[in-house]
Amino acid sequence: MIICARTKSYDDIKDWLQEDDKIILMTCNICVKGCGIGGRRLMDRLAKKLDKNEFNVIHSEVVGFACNKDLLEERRNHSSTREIFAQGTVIIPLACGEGIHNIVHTFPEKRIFEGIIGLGVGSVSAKEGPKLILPFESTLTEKLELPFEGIKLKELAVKLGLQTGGF
Amino acid sequence: MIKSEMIPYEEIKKHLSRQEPIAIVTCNNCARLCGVGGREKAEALEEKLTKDGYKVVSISDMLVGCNFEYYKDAKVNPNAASILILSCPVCARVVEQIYEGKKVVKCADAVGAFIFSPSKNRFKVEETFAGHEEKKGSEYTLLTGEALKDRKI
Repeated sequence: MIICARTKSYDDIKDWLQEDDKIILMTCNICVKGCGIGGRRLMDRLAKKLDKNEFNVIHSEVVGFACNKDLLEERRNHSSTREIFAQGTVIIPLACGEGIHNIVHTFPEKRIFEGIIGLGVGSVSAKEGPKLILPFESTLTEKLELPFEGIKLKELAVKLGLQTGGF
Repeated sequence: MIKSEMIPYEEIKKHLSRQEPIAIVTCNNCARLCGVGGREKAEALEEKLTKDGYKVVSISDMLVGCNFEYYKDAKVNPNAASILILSCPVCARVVEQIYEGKKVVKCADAVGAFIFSPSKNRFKVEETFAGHEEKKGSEYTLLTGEALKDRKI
């Protein structure tokens, strides 16, 4: 599982949005869900927050795997979603770095909010939650004094100045 | 998704003994998609090892090898002295923590993270681990991991 953390806050989203934006929220249902950053519940919560602040969320979409390009292209081209995706001016993805890249490639004409990064690969358990074991950035192993069993996402985020949980 | 690459068979064998029972644990998520894991790959490895005189006593194909919860019904043979991990190195770390006292032998190294397209039957490495930087942007065939020369994703 890719271990993800947020680089941006809800206020960053508000600052980034323009008044007349038509917003599409899109969440992956795998790694970001396991990391407590994405999934249906957190996407719906973000939609409510944006709605309260009078932003125009026109659509919310769960994609099984945001790293599967076919699933994104299907949303773009399928008769049931084509029109709403054509209307959107921005997409706010709840996905790992790879998922966000995929969304950027699939919807090149839209502005995409990039507020989540993948830090590497790790494990997950009910008892301890997500843990980073193998970082993409090799210097992190030393910097974090990474133990054999990995480091808990919350602890990792604090050390790196990143954020966890939903927007 | 994480791309792993197999360690040469001869290297894996160096960690094994023909006298000890061997279990195989494999992952059906990232590792299967990139051509390292899954039931078929585990059975092929079992066949090869058996031919070479090793004793494989169980194959556990996990839905996801990096999730501790799935090991509750993994059915790894308790008599196994060594566990071969046909998955990414994170799965090996998880297994080492769960099956303390057993020798865990990793069969693959992690290369990077990928996006994929089933309709194009390929995946593309988007992010790499240290030492594999030259593979960024490379594309491979799904389920086999065969390197492709062209770029379509």
